[in-house]
Amino acid sequence: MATVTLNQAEKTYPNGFKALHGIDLEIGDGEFTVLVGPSGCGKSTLLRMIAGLESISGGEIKIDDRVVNNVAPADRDIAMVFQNYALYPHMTNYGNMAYGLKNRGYSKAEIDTKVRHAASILQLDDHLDRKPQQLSGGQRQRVAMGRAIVREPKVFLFDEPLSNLDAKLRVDMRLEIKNLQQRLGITSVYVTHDQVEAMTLADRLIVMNAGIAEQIGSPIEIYEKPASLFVASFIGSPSMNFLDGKVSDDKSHVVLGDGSKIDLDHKIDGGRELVVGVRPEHFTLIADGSGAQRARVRMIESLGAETLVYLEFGDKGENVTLRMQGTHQFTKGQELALSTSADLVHLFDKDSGKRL
Amino acid sequence: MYQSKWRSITNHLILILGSLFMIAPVWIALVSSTHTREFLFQNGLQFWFGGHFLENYGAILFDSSATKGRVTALEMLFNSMVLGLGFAIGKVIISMMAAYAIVYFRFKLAVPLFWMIFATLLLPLEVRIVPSYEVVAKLGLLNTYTGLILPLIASATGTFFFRQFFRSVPDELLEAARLDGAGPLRFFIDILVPLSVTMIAAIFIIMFVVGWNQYLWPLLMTTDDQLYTIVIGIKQVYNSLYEGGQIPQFPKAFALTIMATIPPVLVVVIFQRMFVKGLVETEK
Repeated sequence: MATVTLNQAEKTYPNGFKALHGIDLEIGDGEFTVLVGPSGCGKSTLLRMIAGLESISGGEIKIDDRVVNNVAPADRDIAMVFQNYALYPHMTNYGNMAYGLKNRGYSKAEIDTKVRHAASILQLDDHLDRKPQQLSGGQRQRVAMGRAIVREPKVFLFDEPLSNLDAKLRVDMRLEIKNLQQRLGITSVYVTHDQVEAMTLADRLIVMNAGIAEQIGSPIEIYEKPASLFVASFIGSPSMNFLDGKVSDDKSHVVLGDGSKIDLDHKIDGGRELVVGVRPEHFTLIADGSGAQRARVRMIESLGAETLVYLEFGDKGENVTLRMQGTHQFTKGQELALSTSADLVHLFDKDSGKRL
Repeated sequence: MYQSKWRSITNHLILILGSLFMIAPVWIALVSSTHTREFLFQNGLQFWFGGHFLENYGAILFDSSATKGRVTALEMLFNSMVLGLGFAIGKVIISMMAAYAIVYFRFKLAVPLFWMIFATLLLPLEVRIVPSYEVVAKLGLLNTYTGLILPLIASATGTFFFRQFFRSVPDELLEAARLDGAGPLRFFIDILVPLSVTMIAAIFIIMFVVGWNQYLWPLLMTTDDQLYTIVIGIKQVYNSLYEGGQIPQFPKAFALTIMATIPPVLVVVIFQRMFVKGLVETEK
């Protein structure tokens, strides 16, 4: 039960590379926070700084009200689950889970109670006497979580724990982690590059890019109101469509590359150039009509439940993806008329990439 | 089918001939050591056992006059064992600790220090044997086990092998151990040493055999017969074969040689098993 506070946390590596440019963050008690971003954005560095495995170059990190900048990892009262499990291969699963407690001077009886309790939560009772390499990937990751749970830490840290698992197992484990976290109510920080994981697990999502927290908010907030072009393109799959547009002189609409119009409810200066973002699921196919966007079919992917149509839009041939429920048939080169509604359109400044 | 059958027969023939060729000298030494010296002198080397096994080996093991010194083979075997074990265990411990320091601790000059250790590989014992003798003599360690073992205990080879192995251990294990509250010593003893078992076994085998076979060093360090190792003993016995106008002691010389080979063979056989078992069981 704890809060984690980051105050202008910075990381500069000895070679001068600045991995984090001052992160401010408050993680509430029992909150499940997910750090998401492309590789190299600094999300793992940030997690490792909270863990104490990386030094902090500037600012401060607090767990509850204690500044932990110079506190050893073992004394921060945190537990971490690693991507490659990092289980001790020569110890049994029981030994793996008990090791941290043993080092902390718990009695044998206490250790036994705690380990068996954790094992029953994670359905590992039958595997305690085996060694990690006798288990499947999912079971190993459970042992790694067991090692974290037995300590009853203030904060759980997850460093891409599911990336080594196959797709189906990943979905199962995702649910399991979510369940477990809700049941135990332990403050958690979870790093992933998988946006589906991020969206489904997070109470609060932090989208990171190049050492900066681009946006912090609930997953739905971030999906509905991405703060920048980067966030808009990173969250959502397939990624959001971006089209160049220009605001008409009377400010009533924006004109796209093919001359079609989208109504504006904003008061944006006439003549201003901007980027219009529309999610693939927010286009609808309509019968030919005025104001509709027209695009030519380039490729189709049928996924069964939905169909993804890749289109060429306007004279410049901008790429547009359309997501439709069910299965559909189109021929290559066929022209489609699309429409979208003004309140589902995102407008971004062309230079800064910020939301307007 | 026909062809491959012939091929496998020829292959096996070559392998069998090769094995016989390798094993023949050992066999001849073994069976020749079970005859009387008179018989051997008259009939040359033998290819089958004679009836004097117990007699010859008993004399070698327990009667110091048979080995032409004031020490029995049993005592020499003990000395060799002390040297071999001390040498191997010492090298494993020292080189493991050195590699641990080099790989896991960031200190100034770690890299140049490692290469300095590595460069000593270029200097064999024989090059530094005179100064080493000086040092041991001045410390008053001549004719002691300590003097015999201590100056040989540092190992560049061992340090190098352990360094390579430690570098292949994933960093996450160290990090997990740090989070689990294990300090440097705990991590070394609880995690790194158990993970290195196969490495330890391999280096132990090599070093034991090297230590066992040391000749020049113990010869210089010991003037007292009581500290002779079996390798020196063999040399002594062969030296004195033709002295004194007696019939040469060939069977006993052979017996001593055979006995000198047994402990290294046992060590290899025993640790080989552990080595393979370790390879199969541990996964990093």
